[in-house]
Amino acid sequence: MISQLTLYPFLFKIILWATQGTTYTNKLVQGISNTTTATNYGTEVTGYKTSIPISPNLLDGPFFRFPEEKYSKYILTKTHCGGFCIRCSPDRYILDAKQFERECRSGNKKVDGKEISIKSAYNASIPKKAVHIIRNPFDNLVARLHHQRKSWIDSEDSKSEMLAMFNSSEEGFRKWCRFVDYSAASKMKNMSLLSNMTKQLFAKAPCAADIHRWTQFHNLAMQVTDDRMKIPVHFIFYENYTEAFDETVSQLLDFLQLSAVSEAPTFIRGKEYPEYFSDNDRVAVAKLVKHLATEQSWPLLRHYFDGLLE
Amino acid sequence: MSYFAHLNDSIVTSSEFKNATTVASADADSHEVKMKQQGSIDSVLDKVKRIDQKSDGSAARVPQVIWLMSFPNSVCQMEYSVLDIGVE
Repeated sequence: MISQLTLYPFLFKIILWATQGTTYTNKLVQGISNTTTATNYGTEVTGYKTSIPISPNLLDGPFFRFPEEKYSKYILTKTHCGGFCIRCSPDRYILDAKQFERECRSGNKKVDGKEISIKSAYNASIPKKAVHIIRNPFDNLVARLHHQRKSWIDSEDSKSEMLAMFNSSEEGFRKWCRFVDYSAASKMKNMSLLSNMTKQLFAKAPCAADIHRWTQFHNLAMQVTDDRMKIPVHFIFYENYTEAFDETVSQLLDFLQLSAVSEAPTFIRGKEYPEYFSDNDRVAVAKLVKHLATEQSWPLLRHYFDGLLE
Repeated sequence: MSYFAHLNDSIVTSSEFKNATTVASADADSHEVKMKQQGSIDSVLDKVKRIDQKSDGSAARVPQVIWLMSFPNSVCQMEYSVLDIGVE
């Protein structure tokens, strides 16, 4: 059997890139295949005052990241779908599959420098396949605080009080979790939408509202792509970029039907935060996720909770 | 020939492209916004030289979309969530 090293020797050249799963995957695909990717969020594309769609018939997106670059048969298109709003209550973030699917087709665009939100940007028949990225929820949650802190620092009216209260330490993270959970917990008491068991498990887990949103995202992403749209899906586990880089990259390229013609940007694993969660926290999170996960999603999520549910 | 010619199954001229986009679908932005967007795209088309035109001059197809789906690490992208877009 030919090794991946033989097939893709250029994968080992060191080029440094940021390590967000989505960001890295975009940069990887663009860098190794010399083709552009696309996004539902035209406002994040720099260099153009107006977002350039991938087709003249799709003025509301998706949009090219690099309109000057070539593309192949398929174009990888970023979407975060919906239900991830921070500090919103369950009646706002809980979605059904139909709502979630519609949000996967939503985004924004720039027109002459003006930013415009777009709902249901394009027809549900447009996406032909999906790549679904899954990251360890414990690291995902801490990363969300750190990104929030960065946005506070970058904001024009730098939010010094928020930065002081929710610092990067374990203590800051715990305060952040209580902050995030507050509006969810106060609203969910009388919500018939959630079972008593869910409410009990919710009360014991740190950052339960975010855990709820994380689990819902993966439940609905699988439900939408498998049951509603019936399109082929390729899963990427974030940690596989570290543990099996060559195999992960070659499988992704096969799925995208792209050829490797250039060097792959080196993947630098994001920080891990084991100290931010006590053993009891981890067990509580594991129980909540197992309770919320569907039969479809649990087999793909359970390895993050190995040894916690025996 | 506009670079959008390369995005279609068959080659279209700039005027055909304009006709196609002025009746574009999707959720209603105002006519004014669409026209403004069209104008801006046209100005980009004048500057951008795409490199994916086939050597025989024929056009490439519109690329088919593969979603890259992920739960965001970044909370600053929350602005795109149901909070702003709303849920029907």
